[in-house]
Amino acid sequence: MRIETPPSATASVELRGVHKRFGAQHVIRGVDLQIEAGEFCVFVGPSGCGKSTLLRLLAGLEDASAGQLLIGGRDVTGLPPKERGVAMVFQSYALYPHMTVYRNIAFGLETGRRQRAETDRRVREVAQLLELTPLLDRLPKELSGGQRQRVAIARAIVREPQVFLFDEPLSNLDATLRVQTRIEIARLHRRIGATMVYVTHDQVEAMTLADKIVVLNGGKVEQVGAPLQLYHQPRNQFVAGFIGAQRMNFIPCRVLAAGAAGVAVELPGQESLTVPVDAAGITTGQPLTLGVRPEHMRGDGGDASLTGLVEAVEELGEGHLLYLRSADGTLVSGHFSGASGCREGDLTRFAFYEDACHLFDGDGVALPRLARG
Amino acid sequence: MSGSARTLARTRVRSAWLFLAPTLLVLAAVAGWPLLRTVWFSFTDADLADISSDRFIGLANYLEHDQGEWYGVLADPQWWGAAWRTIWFAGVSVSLETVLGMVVALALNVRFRLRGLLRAAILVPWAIPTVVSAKMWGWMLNDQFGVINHLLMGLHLIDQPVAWTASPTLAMWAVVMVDVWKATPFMALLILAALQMLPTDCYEAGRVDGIHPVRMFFRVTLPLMAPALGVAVLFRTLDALRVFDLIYVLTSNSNSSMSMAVYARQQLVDFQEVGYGSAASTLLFLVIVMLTLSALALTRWRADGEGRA
Amino acid sequence: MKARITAARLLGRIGFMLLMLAIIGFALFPFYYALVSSFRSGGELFQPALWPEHFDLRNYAQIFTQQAFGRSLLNSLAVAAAVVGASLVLSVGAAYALGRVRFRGRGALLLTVLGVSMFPQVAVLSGLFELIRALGLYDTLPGLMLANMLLTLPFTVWVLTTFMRELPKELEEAAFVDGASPLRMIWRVFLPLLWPAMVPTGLLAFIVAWNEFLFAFTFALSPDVRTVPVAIALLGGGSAQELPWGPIMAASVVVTLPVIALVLLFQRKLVAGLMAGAVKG
Repeated sequence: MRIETPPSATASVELRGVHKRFGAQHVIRGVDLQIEAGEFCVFVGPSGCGKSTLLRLLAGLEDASAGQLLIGGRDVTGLPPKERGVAMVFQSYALYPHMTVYRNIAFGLETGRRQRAETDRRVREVAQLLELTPLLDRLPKELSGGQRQRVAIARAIVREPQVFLFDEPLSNLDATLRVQTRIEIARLHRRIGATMVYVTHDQVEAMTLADKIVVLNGGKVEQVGAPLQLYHQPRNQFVAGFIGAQRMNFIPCRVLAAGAAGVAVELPGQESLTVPVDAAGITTGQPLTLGVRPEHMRGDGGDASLTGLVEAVEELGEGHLLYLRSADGTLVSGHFSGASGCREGDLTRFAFYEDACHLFDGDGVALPRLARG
Repeated sequence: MSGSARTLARTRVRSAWLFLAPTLLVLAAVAGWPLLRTVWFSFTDADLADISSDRFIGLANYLEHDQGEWYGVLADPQWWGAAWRTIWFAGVSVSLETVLGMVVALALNVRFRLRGLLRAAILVPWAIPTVVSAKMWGWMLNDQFGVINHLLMGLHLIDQPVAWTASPTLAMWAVVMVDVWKATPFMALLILAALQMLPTDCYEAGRVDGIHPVRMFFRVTLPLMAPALGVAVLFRTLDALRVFDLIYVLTSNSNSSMSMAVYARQQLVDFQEVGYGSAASTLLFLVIVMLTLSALALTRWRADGEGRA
Repeated sequence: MKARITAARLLGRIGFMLLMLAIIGFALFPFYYALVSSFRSGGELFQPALWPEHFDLRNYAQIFTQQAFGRSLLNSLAVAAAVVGASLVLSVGAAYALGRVRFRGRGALLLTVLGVSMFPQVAVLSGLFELIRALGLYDTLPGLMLANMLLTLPFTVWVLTTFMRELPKELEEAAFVDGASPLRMIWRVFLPLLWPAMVPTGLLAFIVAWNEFLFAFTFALSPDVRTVPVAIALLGGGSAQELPWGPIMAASVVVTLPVIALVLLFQRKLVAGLMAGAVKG
């Protein structure tokens, strides 16, 4: 396919010490980031974390208050968008309502009469890539949400930028369409191979699309890494709680002993468990937080367990969610397959293995896992 | 169940008409009836002194051929002069007001330090009585004592004082200038309203794509504003065709600067020719109706053709 | 690279500011000049000047004592207030009917109301003259008030109707369920919500009535029923030939100052009202 971008035409992205202030509000507080050429990088985080602002700084729609932005090794800080070699797909598609699909895609390209044939060729090529060819003469208002999104993407592709920027492109679509378009975007990335920076608040999109995820919180980067890396080795409680279809359980516990094998903690209900983490700096009696994902709960077996009364049962069809109120009052959730045999008020037991556990200190920082011997 | 729903709806409709009644009554008294009377008078030879004694004379006020001479409003060169002049005035001043209004609206759309001052400054000319505008400008344009002639002579742009409001060639330009001064704020605010309804994300997309702002203006802003702009232009044009106050006060009883409304009133009140003056008034009314209808027809034709870009 | 951008931007910004200052100057200069001229009198006015020789209030005294300008101001105020008040009262009910009730002929009525606002005033002049004379209201303020309704009523009905349409249906339905009559509904539910719309509408209608000239000039010519625009237009002076420009400018200033105050105070509301009318139109 002629659209394939040769590696030299796509660029790496680097942010160095980037800050952004809106008046008194310090929205981006010192972000350092490196994105390889051809990588699909997702900025994810709760509302207000600054992910959209960061993307707009990359696009050139906002000026950074401090720091440097580099695209393809070139310092683009302070440059207007058109000189940065970026293209952007907006959440609201930002299509020109009075222009046909063809004109919308072509609008950014038209520079002169002699180039009209060239423009036409490129527009039709991109339209074919995104299956828009039968829609070229339609107006945006005659298109469905998913089709409009594809036009927005086509408009970005046709400019052959070095970096693609996506600002929550799927938020305005309904659930089924979202999944469909998500797959199309992934396929597009494989086809074109360009660097893509993608912003979303949906961690599912992040996990499924990204080569690299950047978790942002309050204008700061919490963790950067591959999706599975963030899932298995969250660096702090925030990332642990954010990544994962169901939110991780956080159970308060107390240190019984700290040694070479790990840290032994006392759970509510007096059971104890040794978690294989680095015990440096941990003292006996210190309060810590134990993290276990609902999907890692078991009905029996395990290295330790929690007992309590069932507070609620939610049948999902393929599985069920059980909510257990432990001895000290903590609500713990477990995700099990099949139908539940329990009812509200039943006494039940959640078991879990030490390998599935995470320990977080008083500041929410995860204790590093010990390397397997 | 449905029976009571129907009576419910019926009582609502009845009360609606009750609420409308006083308004409709006043409008009928102040607008409907007088208009009909005016049209009726145009077919009679009534005069102001004794308005009730009138004889039906058909289209004589409009056009009549009598002993080889044409009489009637449509045969009066003064009427045609007033008509063309009014149309010229409407065309020129509305065009200027649209362009200038666009500039002001674009400026007001951006946040800049003097924005509040600009907005307040342009509102004042619009809010004061036209008579006052005419007098103030008349004073500035006064041929002997006016400050404008004084300045122009001081800058050596003219060597003799110019009779702005009295000269048959220049008077209408003076009228245009004062009208632009007065009515641009109105156009600017209408255009501003249209500007603020435009989708903002298109402009960000344009910025990222590196499209030149001038190109964005002509290819995106103007086409998207076209319907609202059309309405504003239509309203202003209808206003301009009815112009009376400004011309009457600024250029007083000069026959070379009359508008259609001035002509009609002159016939009605100064010459006491109610029949004749009513004919002129009716013709002016017809001009306005025709313009409105053709504008409506134009928009409907465009809507059918989908107005693609 | 950066220096070049800022230089061009700076130049553009300066040019922009100059343009804005030019527009503001063009808009406000006539007032300034009228103010200056109002403080000068007699022979001083033969020579244009941008600053008065001394602050002489002679012209102001003259218009109030010799020309009864104060009376004209009161007349204008009375007419405008009455007309606006009546228009608003009538419009609320009409707006409810046109905006919230579906009935046959509603669209046509709305178009008629809009059409009336486009009438040229001369087209109804002879008919109105006959009517006013027949009612015995010629050369009186009530007669003028009646005539001015033509200008304000369609406008207030149109604007209030469009506002009425936007109001949420739930309030009306809740009052309906509570068994409120339409009158009660208007008084208790719609009127409080409509207040923010009525202020700019009333203001705009006031300005229209205050500035009206043709009807006032035709139907209320006597010195004691004259309104301000007529009074200024007919300001005569001592000599037959020369127009008394000093007193005319003084009168203009007297009329303009409250308008400027109004505009400054209600700037936002006025703009909002004008723009809302535009949008709905």
